[in-house]
Amino acid sequence: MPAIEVLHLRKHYRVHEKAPGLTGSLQAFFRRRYRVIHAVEDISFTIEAGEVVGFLGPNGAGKTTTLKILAGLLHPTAGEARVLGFIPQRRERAFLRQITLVMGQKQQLLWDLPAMETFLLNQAVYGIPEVEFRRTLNELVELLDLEGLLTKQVRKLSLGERMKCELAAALLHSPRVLFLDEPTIGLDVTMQARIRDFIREYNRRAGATVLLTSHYMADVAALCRRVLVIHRGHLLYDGDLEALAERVTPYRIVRVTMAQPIPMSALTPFGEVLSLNSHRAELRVPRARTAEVAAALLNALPVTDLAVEEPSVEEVIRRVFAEATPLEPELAAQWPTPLGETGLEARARE
Amino acid sequence: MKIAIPTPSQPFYPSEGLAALSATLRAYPTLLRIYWARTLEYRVQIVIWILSGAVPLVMLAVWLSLAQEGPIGSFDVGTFVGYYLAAIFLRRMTGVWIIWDLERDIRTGGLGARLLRPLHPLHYDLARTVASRPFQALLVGPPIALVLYLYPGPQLDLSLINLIRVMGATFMAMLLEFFFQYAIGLTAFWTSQAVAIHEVWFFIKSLGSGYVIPLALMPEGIQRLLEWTPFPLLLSFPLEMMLGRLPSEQIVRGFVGQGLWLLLAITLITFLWRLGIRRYEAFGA
Repeated sequence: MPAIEVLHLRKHYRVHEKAPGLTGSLQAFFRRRYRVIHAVEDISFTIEAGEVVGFLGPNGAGKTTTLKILAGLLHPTAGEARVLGFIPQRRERAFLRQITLVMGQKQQLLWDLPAMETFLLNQAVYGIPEVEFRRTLNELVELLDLEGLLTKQVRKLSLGERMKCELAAALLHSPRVLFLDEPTIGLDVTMQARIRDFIREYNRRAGATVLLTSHYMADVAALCRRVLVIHRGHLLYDGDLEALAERVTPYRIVRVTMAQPIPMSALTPFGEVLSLNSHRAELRVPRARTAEVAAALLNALPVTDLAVEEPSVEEVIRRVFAEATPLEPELAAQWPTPLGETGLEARARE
Repeated sequence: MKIAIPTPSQPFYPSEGLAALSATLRAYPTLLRIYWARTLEYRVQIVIWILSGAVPLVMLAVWLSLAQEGPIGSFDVGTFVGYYLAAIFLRRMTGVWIIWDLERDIRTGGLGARLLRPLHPLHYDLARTVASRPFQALLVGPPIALVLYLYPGPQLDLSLINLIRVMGATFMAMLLEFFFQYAIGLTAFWTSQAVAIHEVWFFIKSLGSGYVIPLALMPEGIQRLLEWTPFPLLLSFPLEMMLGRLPSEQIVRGFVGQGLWLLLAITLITFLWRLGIRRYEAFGA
């Protein structure tokens, strides 16, 4: 049984609109105008137990809405979602005990008390037996380096320390499915890396399924082989991150360092020159020709160093959205996106 | 090393409801202990609240000056002293302050985090409410007891049986206030005016529960009217019982009334919760 199954999921909100200012308020008081927001439009995917999947998309793409539906906080407007075989919005105890949702911007720790108190509260709420609680806690303390933090008042912890405690609090009941919404938001690079390592390690040790959203591509690139790209409520891509990179950015970056400065004209035959700084240069080379071009460069020029790099994930995602943006939702809805074939694949065939 | 994810080994219960109840009850000792710790974190704030709750003292001063001429109704000077001092204490024991947090949680979506734990969100608030009692009792009880001891006039019924009855009625009054306030808080699912609705409730309660003026001194018509509301049961009932002013048939009627109103309030909450949570899940506040 897959850990997460989503079939033709839709979520529409009705929100009321109000013009700014007093007149707007008065108008809204007497006659409310409503607008329907299509937060999620016909999304389908399946995630197997133990997978770590990245959920990518710009703000308002529908990522958080989907996570909330999967965690049981929102009722879908149409379609189906199953998590560990449960229908999330029923929020059965057996379901809640096996999942967790961490939202980087919301917190569950009791603000005025040491984090340990929240942990004990969770032990009681989730009914975790003492032996198991101690074992899990020790592991989390070790993995997240929480020594010394647990007895400090939460409000006296730094943002990063607090986030680590939040994660621990969310994992004390050893959930099988983790929904992580921006778990590294606002953290510095070191702390981001730390949380990232932890998620990877937790997944490896516990075999838990992880679905995470992040604005930081480094998170996604480091953790997820598979990504779901969502835009305006539509699933644009579901599959291998590397395959996506190959498809939308069919080139590689070749960096060369020469023994002496060379003119631009000497480089142009090899590919598109992205930059030339006296004796250092960056070239964009078609994927299929990378080896050939590298060999030719080594032959023709006084190269002292040569490196071939993949385009950054940011670049890849920018490209995906750049392709998708001209599509209006109505148009996109006509896009053939049956399960197993993403819009991009369908487009690639055309 | 491998983290073993245990299969939830729950004891067998004939129904989801019973399992939930059992788990809830088992969680309560910890809930109470943690919220007791949290109460202590707020000790200064609580002291200030208590000091600012001086209404009964002002009213007492007014009545005392009026009663110099002779008893007013069934109240003489001693009764007034006993009444208002006991009112201060019982107000600490029955007062509930959850509406603001509840309203904010619903309006800003903070409720979400609690919905995802296998315990109904109400229990955090109930535990918090109950857990703050001992601290307030310790703070307010001794000085009031001292004044009542030194002041010769007031007559309290301090027999064991009556003290037990008063404690029962006080606890029920607190539960009643808690559930009614919770119901008002739940209107935040639909309106941003829940706190305003509570202001109205609070105003009527101040007058209708005997907090400002003893109900026995109110016009007959108003007393009759209030008998059909839960307000006298929120403070006046345990208060008059403490003064030994209630005949036994009124005591019985009071407890029955508290029970019925509690049932009604819980039903109301169940109803509002079901409707409200559906809306919350639809809009995702």
